[in-house]
Amino acid sequence: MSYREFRAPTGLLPVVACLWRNDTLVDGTERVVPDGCVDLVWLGDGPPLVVGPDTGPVVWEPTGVPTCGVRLRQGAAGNVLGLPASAVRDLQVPLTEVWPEAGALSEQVATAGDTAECLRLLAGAVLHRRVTPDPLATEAARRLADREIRVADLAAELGVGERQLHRRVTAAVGYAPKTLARVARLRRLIGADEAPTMSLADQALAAGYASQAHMTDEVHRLTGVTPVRFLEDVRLTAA
Amino acid sequence: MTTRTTTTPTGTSGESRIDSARQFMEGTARVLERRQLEVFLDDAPVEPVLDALRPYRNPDGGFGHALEPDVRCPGSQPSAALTALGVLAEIGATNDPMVTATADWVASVARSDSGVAQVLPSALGHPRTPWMEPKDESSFLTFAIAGRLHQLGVEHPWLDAATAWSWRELESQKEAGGYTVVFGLQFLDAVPDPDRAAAAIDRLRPAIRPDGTVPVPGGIEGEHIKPLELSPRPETPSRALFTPAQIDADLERLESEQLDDGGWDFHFLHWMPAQSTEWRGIVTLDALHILREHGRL
Repeated sequence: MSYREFRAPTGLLPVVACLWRNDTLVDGTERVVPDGCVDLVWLGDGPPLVVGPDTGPVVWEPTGVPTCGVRLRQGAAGNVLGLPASAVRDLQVPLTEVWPEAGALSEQVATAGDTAECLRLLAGAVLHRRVTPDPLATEAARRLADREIRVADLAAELGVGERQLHRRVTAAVGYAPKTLARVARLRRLIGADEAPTMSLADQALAAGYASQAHMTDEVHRLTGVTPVRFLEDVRLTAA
Repeated sequence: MTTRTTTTPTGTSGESRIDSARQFMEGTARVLERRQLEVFLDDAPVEPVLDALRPYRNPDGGFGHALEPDVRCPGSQPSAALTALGVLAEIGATNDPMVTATADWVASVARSDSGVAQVLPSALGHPRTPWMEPKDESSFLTFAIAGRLHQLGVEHPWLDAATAWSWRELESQKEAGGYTVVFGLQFLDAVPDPDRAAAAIDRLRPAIRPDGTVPVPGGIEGEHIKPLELSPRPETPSRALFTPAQIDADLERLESEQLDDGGWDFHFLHWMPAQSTEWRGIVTLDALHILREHGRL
């Protein structure tokens, strides 16, 4: 078992997408691509980290031990962290920098020595925050995940101004709505069930790219590799 | 007396389903469930729900007065505390002072092993259903109350002790059945310990029959608990016990069980008129929640 996701306990359902454990990093690297989520992560050594929403690919180096984490939903990170999620964009920072009062927790996680205990501590800590996600940002993320939609139209549909949407999404997710839309399009490219039977050009259009060239450009920017290589990797990881 | 709805052309659409359920709730349900329905359907503010919950409280910090319809004494009861915590969790009132006050009350009536009895002696001499008999032993309500407190994100010394009690019970070799499975899963779905919960959920598998149901020994004839009562929400750990086909079939069962008065009925003993009416309001609200969370409403 190299990567395993656990369903979140009911109290965490509004703010947590999943809890995960990863053995891949014991002796290998892993390319992590933007998914619009913020994770609380334990890399098997030292204190827990907050891993912010990435805007480009990050290669994780071997840790020597299994790692685990709590993945916050899009739209929940700002309230769970207690600061604008954009403050940790493209960053990995110790949890105590975000939650100064979490010194004891951080110490417990650092000395726990096994992923099950770490997940219990991290999940408990998020539960005890007792926060809910920003409903506007959550709804914006849901609609963007679903289909191609212009930010101005999205704001109008949600009954807010573009500037307010920008502010709320940036604070809750860590991305501006346009970036979130780009990440959502990448997720649609990965998520299409019928994709293996379609041509690359058709996959590009189905995910919402203007053309295959547009897709190549964006996939490279977000993942650092070509669409062919990226889609192969994704299917290998999922298998 | 009510009968099954026959399939009329509009009888199955979400909108008419909601309209008739609303009619049922307005005609029958308690103020509490009516206020919860407004929050659920109309995005109404949650304060009226809290206002409707408070009259069931007692000066000791607990809840009574038949908040849970099977025990109809004025005194505070664990089953009423469980109902109150369920209401608070459903409307997301995680920071309301009633949450920790309820935990404090539960701690005050806990037994020496940290479990709580199903019924306290204050019920003696008051109307109640036959299975609600005061007994000084820790009951499966401990699982459910601990689960709700976890769901609400509470930190409390009693919760730590009750969590330890629940793990001991669930991980001992005993065979679980009936409502122990329901309340055990409520605990396991909520406890923030994913690895251990997944293993314990798997241990409950033998209790579930091939059709996804759990029989209730000593219940009414053929009484059994259904998949959506065991695992009411999608994306929860307890779903590991059921196949998508079992859940789909049970959703269809639930849809078909809306009666022609717009409400749903419950599947255990109807013992007293008020008990029956009050439960119907509660299970109707539950049915609407389950259908919406599965995209059927």
